[in-house]
Amino acid sequence: MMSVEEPGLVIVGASLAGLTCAQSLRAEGYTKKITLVGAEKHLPYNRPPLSKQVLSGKWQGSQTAIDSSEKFAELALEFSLGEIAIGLDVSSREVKTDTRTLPFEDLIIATGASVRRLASTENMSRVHVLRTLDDALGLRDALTEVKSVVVVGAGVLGSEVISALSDFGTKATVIDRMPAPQLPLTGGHFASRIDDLFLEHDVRTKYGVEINSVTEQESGITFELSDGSSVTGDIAVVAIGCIPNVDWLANSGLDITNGVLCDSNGVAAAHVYAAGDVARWHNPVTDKAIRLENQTSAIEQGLAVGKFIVTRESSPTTHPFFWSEIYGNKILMLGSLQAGIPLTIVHGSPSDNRFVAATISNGITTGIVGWNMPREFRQSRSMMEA
Amino acid sequence: MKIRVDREACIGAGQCALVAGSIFDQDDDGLVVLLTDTPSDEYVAFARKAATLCPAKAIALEE
Ligand SMILES: Cc1cc2nc3c(=O)[nH]c(=O)nc-3n(C[C@H](O)[C@H](O)[C@H](O)COP(=O)(O)OP(=O)(O)OC[C@H]3O[C@@H](n4cnc5c(N)ncnc54)[C@H](O)[C@@H]3O)c2cc1C
Ligand code: SF4
Repeated sequence: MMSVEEPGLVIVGASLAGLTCAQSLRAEGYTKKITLVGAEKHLPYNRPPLSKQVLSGKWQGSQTAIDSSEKFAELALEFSLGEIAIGLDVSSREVKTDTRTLPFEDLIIATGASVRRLASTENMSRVHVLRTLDDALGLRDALTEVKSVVVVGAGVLGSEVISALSDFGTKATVIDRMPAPQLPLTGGHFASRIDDLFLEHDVRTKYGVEINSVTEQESGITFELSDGSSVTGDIAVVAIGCIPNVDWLANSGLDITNGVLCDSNGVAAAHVYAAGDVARWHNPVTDKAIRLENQTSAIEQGLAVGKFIVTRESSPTTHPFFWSEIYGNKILMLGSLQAGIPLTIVHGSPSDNRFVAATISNGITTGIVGWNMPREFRQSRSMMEA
Repeated sequence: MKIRVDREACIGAGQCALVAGSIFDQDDDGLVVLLTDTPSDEYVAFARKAATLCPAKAIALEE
């Protein structure tokens, strides 16, 4: 079905977006060779459980695997793991890696994102981050031995980590330069709900402060803050966001400002596509190019690119979707809530801790959120189509 | 084809029920419920679509 001489299709980044592209290509009837080059040594796995089931100890690391190697063999996918792409030549259609030069007919860039580090803490052994399976297993081990943790960043990842800490009976302090916790795409509507959960669980909160210095001692780690106070813990977890993995594309000529710029089909240049956390797709409805960091966008972009390469057909633009679980509260979010306008309660009631809410502006629903009401959330999704 | 769902992984997003409502439903907690674990041939493509789209990767297919 395929000849060895054909360069076929190369996917750089063997995670959710890369794998979904490959599955989509095969489902659409693509028969040429598909090679996935991935820096991590693991076959594709799912990151969301890392901060949830894996961190809390409910799951083994291996339970995050997306599919088995037999399944990948059935799809004739060739994985080259532990190989790092270091350069791209768009005109000669070659990817340079740490071990070889790889020619391609078509290339999909799916290198995702890496955690943003806190300056001066890169080499501190008491400072953890959470992006990879190895990070999660390392942090889980550390948590069994510590009594207090400082979490830097009260975003969705920081909030999930803090809520996992309560399972360990660990004392938590959270530091953020923003005045309140932030969930993505929620327009600030959930800041006080998350903050209330922190207070209920005895989390010490330090909002609206900058970190002046970080020092690691033999027994712990100390943060000096701009309000003159200091915070100490046994270890720290830094969760201050992600940056797209585009360094290897620096000399490619592609526009890599905050991710690989693509049209609404994921095309970055002739024969070069991008999908997932690394990609900044143009949205024809809003006429803006934005980078999204969630599972559903990675999956939908992967499906769209695979289909476009084989059939040249575009896929419809969808609304961003994410979920989270914080202290057992199941949060589902579609579209984006508008800041500054009140929430419309569609089902349930916030005081019962179960509701579906939306922001509606000029008759248009911009986003809906389900808080412990998944079924009603799904039923309400149609509001976004009206 | 046989379908397996992992209710511990399911986050109740409901993508499965949206694309393949004759195979997947949600219980009151939003967790996935299989209406059948062996879809007839004309529904296999829908099952595959649901498995790919499931953001929690909670749906596995055995051919
Ligand atoms: C702890 C955690 C919890 C999350 N929870 C949720 C959630 O609840 N809901 C949700 O929707 N999303 C969540 N996300 C986000 C979601 O996991 C990402 O959106 C998704 O993983 C993006 O997939 P991707 O394939 O684009 O990128 P990635 O998963 O980042 O994969 C990119 C891959 O490319 C590899 N790579 C990078 N550079 C190179 C190179 N030069 N050469 C070769 N390989 C390279 C990387 O090693 C990596 O394996 C979470 C993420 C994390 C870390
Ligand atoms: S799509 Fe996946 S996560 Fe969503 S309800 Fe179905 S099985 Fe559960």
